Amino acid sequence: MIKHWKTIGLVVFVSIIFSLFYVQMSREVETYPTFTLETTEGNVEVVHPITLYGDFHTGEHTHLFSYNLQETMYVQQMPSLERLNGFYKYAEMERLEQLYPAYMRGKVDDVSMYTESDLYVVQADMDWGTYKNDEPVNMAFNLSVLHKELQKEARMTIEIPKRDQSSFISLEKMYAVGEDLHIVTSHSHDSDHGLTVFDLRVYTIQLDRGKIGSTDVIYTWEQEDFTEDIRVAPIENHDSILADQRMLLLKAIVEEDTDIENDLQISKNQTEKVSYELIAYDFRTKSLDTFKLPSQVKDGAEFISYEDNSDVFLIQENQEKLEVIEWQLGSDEQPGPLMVPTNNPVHSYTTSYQGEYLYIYVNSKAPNKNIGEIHVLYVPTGEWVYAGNLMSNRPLKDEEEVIIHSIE
Amino acid sequence: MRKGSRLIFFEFNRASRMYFTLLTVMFFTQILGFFVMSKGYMGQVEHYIRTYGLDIPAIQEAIGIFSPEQIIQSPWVMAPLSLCIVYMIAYTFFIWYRDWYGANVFIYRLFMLPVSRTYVFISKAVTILLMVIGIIAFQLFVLYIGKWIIAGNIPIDFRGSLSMLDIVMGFNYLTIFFPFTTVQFFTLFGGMFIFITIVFTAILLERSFHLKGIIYGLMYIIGSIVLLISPSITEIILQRSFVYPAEMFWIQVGLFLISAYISIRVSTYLLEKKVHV
Repeated sequence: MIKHWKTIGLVVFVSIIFSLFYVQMSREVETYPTFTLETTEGNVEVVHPITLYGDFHTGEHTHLFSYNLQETMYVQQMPSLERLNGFYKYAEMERLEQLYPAYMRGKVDDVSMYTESDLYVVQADMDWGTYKNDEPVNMAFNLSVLHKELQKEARMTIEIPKRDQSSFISLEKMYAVGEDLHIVTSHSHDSDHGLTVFDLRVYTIQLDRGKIGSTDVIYTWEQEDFTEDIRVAPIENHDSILADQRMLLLKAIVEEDTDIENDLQISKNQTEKVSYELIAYDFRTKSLDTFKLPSQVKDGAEFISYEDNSDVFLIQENQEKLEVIEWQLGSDEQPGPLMVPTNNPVHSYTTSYQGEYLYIYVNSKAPNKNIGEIHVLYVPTGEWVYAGNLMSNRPLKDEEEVIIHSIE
Repeated sequence: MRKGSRLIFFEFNRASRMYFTLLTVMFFTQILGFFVMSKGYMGQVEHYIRTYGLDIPAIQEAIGIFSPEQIIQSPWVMAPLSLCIVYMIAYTFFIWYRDWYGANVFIYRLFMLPVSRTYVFISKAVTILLMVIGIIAFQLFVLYIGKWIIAGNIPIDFRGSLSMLDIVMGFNYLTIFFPFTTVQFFTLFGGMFIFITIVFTAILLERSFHLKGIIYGLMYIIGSIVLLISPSITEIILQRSFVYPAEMFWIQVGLFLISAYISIRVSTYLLEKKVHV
């Protein structure tokens, strides 16, 4: 044995170093903050179904974690094999995987690419085709359609009509309604005057035939100086009957030489004068209605929910506070905003609308162990039914920061 | 088993002189780097204090805080580590060719040993793997010492995180060589072992068929790589995936095991029937 000391020594050395390394790795994760929720008002059962996902910034690196109100789990603590399926568990993806495991096998983990009607589940994305003489050709929609009753999957490639294959097409939203799939696209191309022309179109695809039934250009505008911006309202409530009936488009008109925020969820400087119009497109009648939004709505306001023929809910920041605006679509009434009862200045926030509850998590600019606040609104009555503080087990250092960015 | 381990001891002993020399060079260069760079940073700090009378936040603003990443990505650490990597790649070939082209035709003596030639093959592969794991472990060891050097030289106000996780992540793309979990450990080094057996098989094809063998060897490597990444190729060609990520992992594990089995069987056949001395 002694004459083989070099090899044996190396093996022992490797074992010691890696053991030390792994022990230290697990200990290091234990030095990261863990969280508890301190209820200040209401019944804690309201928040039991949710999981918070966030980032712990150490100053140099970022560590992902989840907190399900029972335990904090950093990505490093997640079993390696489980981690293969991704760290984030999107409730909607989990639901689809449980209901349709064979259909969901091999599918992308992007909630926005799925839509479901009472008959079908559809996954859709764009096939950008190829370029010929600098012109795009063969652009198509790739659909994977599951017939829910027959449990049969069909794959379809539906070519976008040649006349519509303009310089740039982006898939904005899709809604499956009965046997139809409505795909909303944004097109941009250069006009004869050298300006960029945008239009929003709705392709209605008959899923049983795999063909485009109709194409409607629902809105066209020239973007001269970027003072006008149109977005499809980011409504994420999958069970909303909105998808069956009406789609909302947000039109922001901003004064010249001011920038438009790309993401409605990001809001900081609210001083620019912006007026909003809400365009509602009705899938049934293919008609457009334009509504003037209440004047309290500011740049950066985010749509939370809208059910057909019911109120629109928006959330926005106002002088380091958050407010929810409930507005009956088309009403001239100027509703008073509902202040989110935060105790600390708002750093950023995230929302989730589940069932009849609106969950609002606010990352606070609070010192010490207070990381943020959760407030829950019971939408039918407009009552705040829960408030709680997310507490860290230790004060954060100067360079450390915890940001919760999604609620599932 | 015992015969196999003896062969591993033997192979490692043959490589040890150069190997330990490299580790020594790596140790001293990197440790020197930790000293030079941390002292250099503190020299800057003192300069700012003496010359401009700045306080801690002002200095942090002026020159930033010292991050271990700065050392890790400097030539002090990267150069010796790269040298080790290049050495290991070269030694993967050298471990065989030396036996043919060395002072004595040593392969003849190896083949005359009363052990299966498969042991010869596997012992060489295990030796290479052991040396690679040794380098990575040694790098971790140096980082532990480097961490103490930084902590000793630079006050806490002026330095970034000294957690091992953050330090190792400073290697950027080379971080893949540092398995953070035991599953990653077995995946990484298992995969490495299989890759070594593929390269060894290609070498033995060359030793068996000479010029033609080079082509066979290259074809074998390409074929093995295609086999190993065939699930990904299929996904790219058909532009869709067919399995859940965890299922894909087990398919990959299966393909790696098949590849290892084929390599060992082919190599054993070549060693027993085809290789010329």
